Amino acid sequence: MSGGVKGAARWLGPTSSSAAAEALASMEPEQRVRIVGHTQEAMEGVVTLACAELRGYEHSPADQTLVAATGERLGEIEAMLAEHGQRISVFPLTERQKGMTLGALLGGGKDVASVQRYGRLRESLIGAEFVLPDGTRAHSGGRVIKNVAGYDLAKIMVGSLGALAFVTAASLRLYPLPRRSVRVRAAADLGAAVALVDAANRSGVELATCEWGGGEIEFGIEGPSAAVEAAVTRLAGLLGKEVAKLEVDEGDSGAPSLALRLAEERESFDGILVKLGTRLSRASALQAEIIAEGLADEGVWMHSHLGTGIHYLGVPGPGGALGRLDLLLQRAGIGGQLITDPGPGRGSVFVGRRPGGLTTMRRLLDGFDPLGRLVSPMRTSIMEETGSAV
Amino acid sequence: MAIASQSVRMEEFKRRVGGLVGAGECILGDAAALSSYGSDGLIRFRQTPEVVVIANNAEEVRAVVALCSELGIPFVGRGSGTGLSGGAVPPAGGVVIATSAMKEIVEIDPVDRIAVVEPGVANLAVSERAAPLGLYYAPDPSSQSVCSIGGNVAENSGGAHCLKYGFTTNHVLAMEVALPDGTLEVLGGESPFEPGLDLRSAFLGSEGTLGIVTKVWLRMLSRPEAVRTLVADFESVESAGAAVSAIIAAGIVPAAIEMMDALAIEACEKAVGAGYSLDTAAALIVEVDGSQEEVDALYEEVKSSCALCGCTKIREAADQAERSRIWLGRKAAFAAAGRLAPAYIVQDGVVPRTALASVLGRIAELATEAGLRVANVFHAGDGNLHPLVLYNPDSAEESESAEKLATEIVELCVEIGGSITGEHGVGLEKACSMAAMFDDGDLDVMQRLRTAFDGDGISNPGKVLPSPRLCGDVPGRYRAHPLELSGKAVRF
Ligand SMILES: Cc1cc2nc3c(=O)[nH]c(=O)nc-3n(C[C@H](O)[C@H](O)[C@H](O)COP(=O)(O)OP(=O)(O)OC[C@H]3O[C@@H](n4cnc5c(N)ncnc54)[C@H](O)[C@@H]3O)c2cc1C
Repeated sequence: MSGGVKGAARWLGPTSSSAAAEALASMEPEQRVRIVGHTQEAMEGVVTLACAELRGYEHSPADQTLVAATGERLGEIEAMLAEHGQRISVFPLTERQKGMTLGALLGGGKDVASVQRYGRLRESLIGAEFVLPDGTRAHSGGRVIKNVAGYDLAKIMVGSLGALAFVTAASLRLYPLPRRSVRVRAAADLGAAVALVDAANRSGVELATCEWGGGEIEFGIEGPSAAVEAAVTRLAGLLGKEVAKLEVDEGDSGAPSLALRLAEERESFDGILVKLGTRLSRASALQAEIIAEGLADEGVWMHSHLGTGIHYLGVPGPGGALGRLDLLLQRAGIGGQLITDPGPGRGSVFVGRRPGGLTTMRRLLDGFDPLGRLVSPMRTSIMEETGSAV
Repeated sequence: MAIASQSVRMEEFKRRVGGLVGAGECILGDAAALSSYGSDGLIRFRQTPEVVVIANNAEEVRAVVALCSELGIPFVGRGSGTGLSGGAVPPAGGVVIATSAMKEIVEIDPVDRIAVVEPGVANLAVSERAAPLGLYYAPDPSSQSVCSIGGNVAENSGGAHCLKYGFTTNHVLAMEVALPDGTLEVLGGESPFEPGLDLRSAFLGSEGTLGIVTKVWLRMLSRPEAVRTLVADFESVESAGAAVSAIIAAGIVPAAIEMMDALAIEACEKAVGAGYSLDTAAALIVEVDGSQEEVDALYEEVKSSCALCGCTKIREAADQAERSRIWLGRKAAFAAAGRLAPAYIVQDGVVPRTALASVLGRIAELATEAGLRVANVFHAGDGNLHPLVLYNPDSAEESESAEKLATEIVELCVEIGGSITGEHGVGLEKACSMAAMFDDGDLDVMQRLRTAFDGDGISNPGKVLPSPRLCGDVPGRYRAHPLELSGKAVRF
């Protein structure tokens, strides 16, 4: 295990789950712990437990499964799998995401453009190993793609922001790399983009990605060459007066896809990012309400994994925009979550309609972390929303 | 305050429940009627409930659950009763809350591709209703014309087409549930992203132990434009297994790859006359779907992979009628086993796909040792085996050997890195086998999750997790877990 002391803050990078379990079991009960990927930044009075040094994987190409320690970097996993003509369900990755650990991807519940085709990471997560804050080691799921034995503890780790356990390994279902992959882009406002997605869905074209932002829509189309060709022709046939022209990109020009450009914009944004989900058909109404509320004039912008109804709102801060957005989303019955860490003492990450089952979430935190050891914005939020002491 | 005895509490429950749902919806004293709710599709487990409540809406379910919670009475949710692991068997002294009458399809939105349904709606009914909109609900258990969406959610059910499209968990956006404390909550949202901890995922596949589903938001898919189906015969299960691997290695994810051995083929053929070859050792049903161009390209490759692996004959479905006939045979496999023997045990285990051929060889050896016959049908693409252990129930010795063999098969699955269940669930049947896959730490954490939803242990107790009462006490001194000592968890 590597580690260091930075002032009163300690950074621990265990190299195995047993080392992590021992470290947690031997801590004083009141010791607080923060779980991270490879963040080096320390926090006063808190042990930072990083998965960055948990390395190693078992790849079974013929079974299309990967069991990887959560310190493995996404870019390395991607490159290794590509040699076998395979990939995980999460693509395309920005340069920054390639340097991320699998643990950070999982705990952060990050979504990328492939959510259109393969769903969220939870859909391809078939098992996990983890250590609870009291040092209890456990696993759920396994290495087979089909399995309904016991509760699916692995999936609840996705997006838990380190509030439940230190995840040390994850098993993933893998997918074949497509034989051909093209991107099709068009200028489209949100209303036209929604109409185009609807038309594409009805036309039988299977979309691998479906991104909207900055007045453009981009579809990723994958498959056997002839099928891709035919899908592009079909999409062109769907164009109407709102969307006049499609630009087809085979990905060989070196120019980044819209999916990557938008993801990079979000990464470099220095305001507050809110992630939320709606039905596809509500996207334009939401945008209209944001404009009517004057929030667009204050610089609030929107990106979408449009086919799935997952959206991001960028809120330049500080200022009153977030508070007004919160109220607007509450009125609209839309639930959102800040994905920019609001930092300690900044309160709940929830905005808009609050998620169902908050009391059960609190009981889950009590059950997994009865000592209240983990420092996590998810924990802070659930405690605050349920009126419990953090 | 003295705690009233169970019988006193049950009497009070019986007095009050009629006021919550209407007398017509409660079965209280009719022994024959109560007894028909005593088991699910796995009839060797049976327990007559004290009361059956047939709920009409979410509020009734909530109110009955709240009454159970107040009086400390155990309950079980029940859909169509087709479960194959004893999941819907009532707890002793408990209440059945049936959601089978809640059959409304509330909404199907063709733009959002969402269906909102009550839990009693049959799986197939959703696709039938959505068909004019060009949509369907992908998970397709063989029992789909009967089994309910509520039961599918509870079991995280799969089906033949789950290789490409995924299981119930991949197609449910949200559920409204009556939690065991009598509150109604929506877990999940109308898009795959919902803030907070992912309780939706925790609930899916929880086999009725975390509460009762009262409404479900389903993700609907566009009907594929083209589908092609073939049956390929092979001289051995090994060569059929090799063909499965070859297809997958070529980067193809077919909509379905199902395998049957000679005995299973014989049974299906006798039952429905699907036109399978009776002189083959194994057959694969392979289906590819998608756009016409995609299907055209992939179908030819599937055929070549089969040919390269020594396929002796390929039968191609010429039209929808022939495709339906091919599937009818496969979907009738469980029932058809009754043509081969007076009784049989349907086993459900999973192995890594690449271990299929060797596991089948080992199953044959175990069957020979036990002096029994085993027919094999399975979802070959995802390694989900359904060995059907045939036996004569009039022979006590044979019945016992059959049970032993079924257990050995599932243990074999675990030994080679698989699972004790791929789709039928743990229920009562496999609660004691959980220890083969999970150690004390794993089970302890699962218990913590269960306690977070159901602190009093009243929702379908005795299922999923092994309990000392069910599985026999583990030798050694009983040691209370720190969570038990702190009152945060209880064993049940
Ligand atoms: C011939 C046959 C073929 C089958 N084929 C398949 C197959 O291909 N794939 C597959 O996965 N399964 C299969 N099954 C098993 C079974 O059909 C599924 O498990 C199905 O999902 C059960 O649904 P049900 O409505 O019958 O549930 P039930 O049997 O009534 O209950 C099953 C479980 O769900 C719980 N439950 C039911 N309703 C609710 C509710 N509203 N809220 C909370 N919990 C609830 C019960 O408590 C129980 O634990 C098959 C069964 C048969 C008999």
